[in-house]
Amino acid sequence: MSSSPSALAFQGVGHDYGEGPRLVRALDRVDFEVHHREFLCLLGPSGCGKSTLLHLAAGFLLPRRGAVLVDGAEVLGPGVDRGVVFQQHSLFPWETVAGNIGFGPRLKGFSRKEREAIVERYLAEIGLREFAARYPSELSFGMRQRVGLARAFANDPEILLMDEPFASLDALTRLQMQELLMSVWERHTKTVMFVTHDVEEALLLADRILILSARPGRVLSEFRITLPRPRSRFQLADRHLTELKGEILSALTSTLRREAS
Amino acid sequence: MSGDKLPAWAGPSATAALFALSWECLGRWQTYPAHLFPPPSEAARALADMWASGELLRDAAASGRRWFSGLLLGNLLGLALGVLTGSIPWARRSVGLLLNFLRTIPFLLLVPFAMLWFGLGELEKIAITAWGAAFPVWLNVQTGIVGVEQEYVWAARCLGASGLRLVWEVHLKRCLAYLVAGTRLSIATGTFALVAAEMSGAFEGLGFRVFYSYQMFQTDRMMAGVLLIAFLGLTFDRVFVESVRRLLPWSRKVADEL
Repeated sequence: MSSSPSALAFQGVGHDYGEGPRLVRALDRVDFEVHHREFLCLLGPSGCGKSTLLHLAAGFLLPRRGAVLVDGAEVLGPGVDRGVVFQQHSLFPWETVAGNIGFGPRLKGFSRKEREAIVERYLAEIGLREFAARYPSELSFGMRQRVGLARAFANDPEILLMDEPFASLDALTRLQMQELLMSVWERHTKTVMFVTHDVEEALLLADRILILSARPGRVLSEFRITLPRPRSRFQLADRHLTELKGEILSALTSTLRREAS
Repeated sequence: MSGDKLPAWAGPSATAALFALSWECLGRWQTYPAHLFPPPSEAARALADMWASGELLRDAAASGRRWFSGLLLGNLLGLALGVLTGSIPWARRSVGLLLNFLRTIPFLLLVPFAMLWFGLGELEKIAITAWGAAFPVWLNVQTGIVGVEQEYVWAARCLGASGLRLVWEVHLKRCLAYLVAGTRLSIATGTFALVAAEMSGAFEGLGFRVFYSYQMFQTDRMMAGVLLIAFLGLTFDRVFVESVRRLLPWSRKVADEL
């Protein structure tokens, strides 16, 4: 073991929903670590507890068994060290775009000037400068998700937790968002735990991919993506990556088959 | 017909005019003797008399003071209780039943007690008004806070909000429509309560004036007082809703219509 603790660690984590005969085992004996500044993708069939893992890391839920550690300290609730990008953007409808991005800095007590500088920078990065004074309901779904991303980055957390952030977007917008995320992430490298069920998305974004089994969710296998950055989706046609994609898909389908039988 | 081309005030004015006209006709046709069912023109004349003698202003000022202090107090109390029972489940379970029990007591029945406890002064009337105003605010704030989406709360907590700051930044802003509805209801219930308080142990005030005119069998003055109370309530309601709209530009984003 290295001397400094990993950014995020799951130790023997298990979680259930409900009680007695209605008990559903969502996760069982999950062990893995996310290293500092690593981009980790969790890939698994729907209902495998991916989102539960993310909620545990965020501190929205506390595990029934085992422990979740951030920098070696047990997670007991949500905190500003862990930013979350939700599947449904969950922007505050009563705040403008600028108000949403500046929400975290405002609560941290930054002055108006500092806040405006942060908001300005992230608006430029997501290309929505002229939308600063608009409300979320006046934006397209893709734009809202970009603001959600900016809001999380603007609060400058150590770890970013992303729960299928692009799943509800149309195919083309999703590609744009992946490019945007890569460029923003490469500029402000952070530890990322990214939940998805899209194999290509995981291959494009991740340093490492963990495959989860169907209920109860457990870590089945691990793949390292050594593709150099900045990456382009055209590299996904590379023979090595095509093989990797095949391996990942077969690992995923085998867990589905096991669940069916 | 959608009526989209007409100015916004056309519909309400037409309704009001039609209502007043039919009432006037009913009064003039002597469906009931005019002294039992005074038409609006009689009420207006009585109102002018009361204005000229100066008693209208005195009554309105007396009621207005009690009403304003009572509403303010009741709204603050209701808001505090609503935040408490809305955001803490065990508080909701333990205090909720008691508050619902108290809520159903007609405030008319509390007036004698209030007179015994607070005397025949202003405090008694303000207390009764506050009591009447607090419950709708409490219930609406609680309902609003309980209904706030979990994701907004989670997002705000990750961005550093907690405690009362979280309640203010997320819960109260999100449930603005409920806050507004609660206050609007309290404008009405506070008025009921105040009038109930003014019907005994008062020597000035609009509620007192209506009841006194009844005892003097001056139905035109009674009607004038009733109409004035309703008109003031409506005016304050409109002023309140309009100020919320103007002062909080985001209000339309959390409530289609206030």
